[in-house]
This record gives sequence, C-alpha cells and structure tokens, in this order.
Amino acid sequence: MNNWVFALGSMLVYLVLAFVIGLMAGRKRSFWSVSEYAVADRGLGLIVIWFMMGGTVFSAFSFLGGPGMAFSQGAASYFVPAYIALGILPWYLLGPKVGRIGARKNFFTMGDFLGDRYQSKALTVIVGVISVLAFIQYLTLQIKGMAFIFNILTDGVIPYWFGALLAYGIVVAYVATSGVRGAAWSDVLQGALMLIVAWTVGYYLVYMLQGSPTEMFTAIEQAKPGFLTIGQEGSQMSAMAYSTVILVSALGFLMWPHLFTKSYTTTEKRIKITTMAFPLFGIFLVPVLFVGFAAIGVIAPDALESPDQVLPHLVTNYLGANSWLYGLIGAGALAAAMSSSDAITHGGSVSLGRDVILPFKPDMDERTQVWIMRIGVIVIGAAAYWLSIFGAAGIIALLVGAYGSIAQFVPAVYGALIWRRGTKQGAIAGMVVGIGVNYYFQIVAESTPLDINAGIVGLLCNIVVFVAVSLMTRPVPAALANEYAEA
Amino acid sequence: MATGRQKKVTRPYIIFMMVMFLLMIFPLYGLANHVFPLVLGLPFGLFWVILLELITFVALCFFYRYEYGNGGEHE
Repeated sequence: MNNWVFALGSMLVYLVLAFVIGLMAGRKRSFWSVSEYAVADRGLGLIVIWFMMGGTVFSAFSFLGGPGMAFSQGAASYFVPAYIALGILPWYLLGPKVGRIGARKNFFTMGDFLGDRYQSKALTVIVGVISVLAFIQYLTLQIKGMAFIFNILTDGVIPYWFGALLAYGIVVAYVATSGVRGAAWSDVLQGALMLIVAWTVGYYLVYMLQGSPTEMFTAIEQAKPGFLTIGQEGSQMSAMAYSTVILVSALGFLMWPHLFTKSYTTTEKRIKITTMAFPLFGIFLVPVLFVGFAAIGVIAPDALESPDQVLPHLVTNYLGANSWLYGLIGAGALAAAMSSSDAITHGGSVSLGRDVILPFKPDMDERTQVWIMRIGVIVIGAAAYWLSIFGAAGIIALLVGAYGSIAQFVPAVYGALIWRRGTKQGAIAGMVVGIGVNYYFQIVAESTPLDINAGIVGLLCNIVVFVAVSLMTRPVPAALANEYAEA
Repeated sequence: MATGRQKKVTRPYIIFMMVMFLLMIFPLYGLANHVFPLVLGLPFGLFWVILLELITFVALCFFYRYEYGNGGEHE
C-alpha cells in the first residue's frame, strides 16, 4: 500500500473519531443555556480540564513551528519549554481569585471581569475585539498547519484548501453543537494521541538519523559552534532578546482570555491542580525540538521553503519505508492543530457574543445569546479559514505577534486584583498605548532599543500610562475595588 | 474569601516564582548557557530548563499539599 493511502486512511479514521466524540459530548445537555455552552455549568472533571489546557498548549506549533525553530535557531527554541512552565505559575494565586469573583458574579469572559471591575463597557468591547482578532490570527496558523500536513502527507492528493476545510470544518461542527464539552472531550483523544506521536517520532528520528542524542548534540556543536547557546559567537539570539521573549510570553500566557473562561468552569482546587501540570507540559515538548535538531546536517537549510517544513520534509524523504509512522504522524499533527483550534474557536465565539455584541444590546434573551455564540463559531471559523488560505505569514511571527497584543492586558488584569486605585481611563489608555508601541516595534521599526522584545517595550509604556492616568482620574467605588483586591 | 493557609502561602509562593523566573533568564541563565556537559544526552542549557521545570512541579506539589493536606477530590 502506498504511504499516502495509509496516511490518508489513518487521518480519516482519526477525524471520524474526533467528530463523533465531540458531538456525543453535548448530547442530553441543555442546548439553549449560555452557561452550558460557555462553561458547561461549571462542572467539568479534572482529567478533561487537564487535557483541554494541554491541548491548547500543544498546537500546530508542536509539529511544525517547534521543530522549525530548533532547526533554524538552535538554543533560542528553549524559550518555548521555559515560558510554558513559568507562564502558568502566577495562575496558582490569581486563578482562584478570578474563579471566585467570576462564579459569584456569573461571569463568562475576561471582558466581563475587566468591564465590571473598571465599570466600563468600552473596556469590555476593546478586550473582546482584540481577543477575537488574536484568536483568529492564532487559528489561521492552526488551519495552515492542518492543511499543510494533509497536503504533504497525501502527496498532494488532498489539495490545500480541501484539507483545511475538512479538518477545521469538523472542529467548527462539534464546537457549534456541543460547546465547551465538545471541545474538552475531543481534546482527551487528541491530547493522548499527539503526546504518543511526539515522543515516538522525536526519539525515532534522532536514533535513525543521528545515532543518539549525545552524538547528535556533539556533532551540532562541532559543526556550528555557538548554535546551542544564547548570546555567543554563532548564536541565533542575544541574551536580552531571549530573556525578554520568555518574559513577554510568560506574562501573555495568562492573558489568553479562554483561560479566564475556563477558570469559571471549575473549582479553586482544580485550578491549582491544573497549574501543577504545566511544568510537565513543558517537558513533554522537548522531543518536538529533537525533531528539528535531528534534521541538522541531514537537510540543507536552503532545501526548505520555510523552517516549519522540517518535520514533513523528514517524513516524506527519510521515512519512506515506514507507513505506520507515516500515518501516525499525520493523525498526531492533525490532533495537535485541532485540539488548539477547538478551544480557541470556542473561546472566540464566547468573547464575540459576550464582550463584543451583548454590550450593545444588554437586554438580549438567553436563547439569542446562545444563537449568536453558535453563529460566532461559524463566522470566526470562516474568517480564519479565508485568512489561512489567502493570507501569508511565518508561523512563529504570527504566534508571537498575537501574544504581543494579548500581553498588553497584563496591567489592567493584575491592576484589578492588586491595585485599588486603577481606573477605566487608566486601563484603556495604557492598553491603547501598549498595543500601539508593540505594533510599531514589531511591524514598522527595524529593531528595538537594546534588542528588548517589542511586547516588553509596549508593556513598560502601558504600565506607565496606566498608573499615571489612573492617578489623575476618579477611582471606582471603594467597595467594588476592595471586592476585587481581597477576593 | 481566602482561607488562612492560602494567605500564609502567598508570600513564599511569590518568592518561589521570582526565583524560578530569574533562573530561567539572563544574567542567571548565563550559568547554564553551555553545551557541555551533556546530561541525559541533552545540552546543558536545555537540561537546565528541564531541571527547573521538574523543580517547579515538585514545589507546586508541596504548596498544594500544604494547603489542602492529603485530601482527594473533595471540595
């Protein structure tokens, strides 16, 4: 049997399974409840939440961007496992606070949270719009990943547009019908699958192409001195750039608005147990980097159009004889991309309904809200699909770019919980300035001062403006500020 | 409202978090910014990241156990 037939077969089997599990999850649940759709009536089990969180961490990045980064940038790629462990740490303290406030006040999103604390609908809408845009940006990257995997592993039999439509269409279908439950349960299947695949493939490639990890890293150091360190002769990243990219990614990590939504779906104790799992997620990612390192000296850097193609290139050119592995990689990579897409699509639809549309028509009944969220899934899905087929940008740049804007929520969110004096004018002004500065240094300017990450430059300006403007404007009622600070 | 044990944990937890952050970025990461010795086949810089993640995991387990004791999934 041809490899591509095998790959196509296993990907289709996987897709059917994910679809069925996603649809079954929402059965016999109230179809018309906002609470059920958005937060599953706050009653999902620990293992399911754990996989849902993990699934969001292991995205298309795990099979495309991650290996590509190790292949092209060496030690700079260590920042990924580093920030995943660090990024979640503050959540151990903040998560229960956010969850308590959210459950008491019946919140669903980060927009609800900020809007209530700062008494500003405008803030809710701003956060909602930015979140939805960042979600779409992030989704396009997942969809591109799915399409790419489908296309290359089936030898071009499944065209780019159709692979994307098939895989992402299934995600849209089960999220729209089953809400958070659909996303969560299919993530259990997807998470298990992609962990097995990542470890098998990572180690298999190292042993097959390079002998062993020890031989591999010794050879790399000999061939490219400095490549496996930071900020030295031959390194791909300066010490400042490395440190600040870890900082901004770690800070931004908590600001992904779906994390807020999820904290409302669970209990304090579970938030803390979930936090504990993240350092392990970071370790699980290491074989992903191995894939990229294994390609060094095997693939010439100019043989690839983009470093993201390292894994597919290795699979199609060096794994010819092993159809099992071929099929497994196809299914695993799809699982990684889909498990991020479902959670993000769901989060985007909730943000769109609650934060962007509801403030303009606050008297909307529940049934209409649920409809808007379900239609939102399709609208966001269509936008992301369109962008990923017709738009173009490198996977890593997109990810970091989306993180850049999201990280600008940090002062307002932390401010809500620890600083009673923060005001809506301060929060909005800080956010606008931060996003503007970040955008300028990321897109317009050639470089940043001292090679500091653009997001951190934006954050520094953001904090200064937030504090200064807050001190000049009228504080929110003391009782409200206290409720947040002491939650 | 937070319980007594949760409040007591806050300050040590913040210190723990800061230490982990600092060990992961420069200048302190400079201590680990080498290829050799390889540990478990990994360059020392990568091994350092993984070691810190394991320490983080264990520390979180201790924090959790201090707050909630050995109890299972009771709320």
